[in-house]
Amino acid sequence: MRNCRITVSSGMTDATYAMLCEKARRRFGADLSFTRVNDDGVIAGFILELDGTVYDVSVGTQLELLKKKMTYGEDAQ
Amino acid sequence: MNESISAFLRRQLTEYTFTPVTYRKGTVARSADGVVTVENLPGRRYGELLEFEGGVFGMAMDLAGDSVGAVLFDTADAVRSGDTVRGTDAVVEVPVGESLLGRVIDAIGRPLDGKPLFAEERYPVERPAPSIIDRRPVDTPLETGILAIDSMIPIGRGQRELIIGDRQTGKTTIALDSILNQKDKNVLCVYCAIGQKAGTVAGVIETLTNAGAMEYTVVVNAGAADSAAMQYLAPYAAASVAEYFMERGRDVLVVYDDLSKHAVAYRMMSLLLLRPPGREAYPGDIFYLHSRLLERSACLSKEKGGGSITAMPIVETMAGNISAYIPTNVISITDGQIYLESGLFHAGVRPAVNTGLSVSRVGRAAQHPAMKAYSGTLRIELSQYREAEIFTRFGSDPDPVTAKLLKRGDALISLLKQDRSAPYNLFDEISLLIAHQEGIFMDNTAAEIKNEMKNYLAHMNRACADIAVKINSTGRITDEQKNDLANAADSYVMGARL
Repeated sequence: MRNCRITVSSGMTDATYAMLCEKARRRFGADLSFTRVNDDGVIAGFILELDGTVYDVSVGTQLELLKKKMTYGEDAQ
Repeated sequence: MNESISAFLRRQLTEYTFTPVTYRKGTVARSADGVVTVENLPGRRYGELLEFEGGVFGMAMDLAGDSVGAVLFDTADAVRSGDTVRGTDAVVEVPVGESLLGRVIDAIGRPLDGKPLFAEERYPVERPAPSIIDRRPVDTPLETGILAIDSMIPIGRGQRELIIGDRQTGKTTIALDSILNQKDKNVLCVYCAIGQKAGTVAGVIETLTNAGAMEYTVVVNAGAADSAAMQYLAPYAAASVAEYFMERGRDVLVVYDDLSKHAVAYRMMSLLLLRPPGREAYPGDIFYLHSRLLERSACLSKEKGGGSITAMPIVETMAGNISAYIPTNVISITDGQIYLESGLFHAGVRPAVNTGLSVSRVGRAAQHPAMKAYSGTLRIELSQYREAEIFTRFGSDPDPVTAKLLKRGDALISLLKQDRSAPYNLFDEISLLIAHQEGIFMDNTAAEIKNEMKNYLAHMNRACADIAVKINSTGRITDEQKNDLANAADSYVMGARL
């Protein structure tokens, strides 16, 4: 079994979380076990970590990117 | 003002697109002296940009087994064991473009002047040098405005000319004066400060600003307080900034101030990464470090736009030892060197150029015909003067021929002395060489010559205003103009004697 860690905001309902897990299984394989981490910095969306790769579709990260873009004028490194 | 800010915010928000972020993640196993060992990072690449927690960045420099050796760009204390590391899947890049002119940035392109930077493009800091087929021989002069250099060690656009000498001999001054002289000459400049004191760089920026040179200059700074990785990257970033302009047909002058500190920063990084030390504890690839940088200076073919990058790397020697490891390396890479001697500097000969040890291997072909017509014998004359001067130190009375040689030599040395931030135009340089040829200042003392020179140049500019415009714009001189200039010089002598 491979462990998949999903970080979501504490406001995410169990039903939405279960749907998210099901979609991840379909995308990455059935041999996944899930760990839910609550982090309100995510705001909305989720951060999925599997086999050392992170898939970040959280609003928190997007706002950080926007902040950097406004500060440096582009997607600063 | 508020309106434009709100318009800016609205534009940023409307143009923003939600893009999922995917990256690989590892863990910091060890962190010491700015070098970090990262474990469990899948798909790692050499030279990859790594992001650590807290917004600290680093670069993968050593791929060994399951771990990665990385150097940090920011302060080492911000990274702790167990921290998360993000692989960005990108190499280090810098912003490039017209909007960088007048700006001060660090080695990874972050603005240091407190203003946001909206660059046209981003270039990787490491880029391949132009190929042989894309180049053409150096054929256009790059005027420094320094008589001693333009007449005897001429530099061409696309050349690599090393400025070498002990500390406090005027190396940076020569580079800065060369930048100041590019005003209205359609040459852009990049000044790259490596391992310099913040106060020194502030002074350089002030000099450039006061002279109106920041309009066509970009300053890339990795100061003494910055990490070794930033100091290592700075000259490559400066080269990328310059390449943007070169590829668009522009001529660029890049000053690397200085490559000795760059080599020291790389040595530090290499030793911390446990790479085997070689001569003077430098790693085995220290030659390649500088050769791949300086090879990026080129004179592009017409098909490639005809742009050029002229490099002025600076190397600091210890006690005049130019046969040390780094100086000999860079001397062999470059197309010539301007050697500055502390003895001359302290004797008041400034710029303290030792013409015997200085050479320009390709610049002579690019020298203005007008300058070539008058500067041909200067080096020989100076070396004969130096030789005769050494003999007369033994106290013997020189014969009349030697006495004349010494007198002419003394006058020439005085003519070649030049104040900082006061570059000459081509016509002034030629006028001074005519003065030497005609022996105008032979009977003056060194102190008198300084004042006489001003009067003489004012007279020549008045008497030959038309010729001055032609020479400055074309770099050429006809026989008729030569006669007119000689007559004008004679009339100055007559006027002075009356």
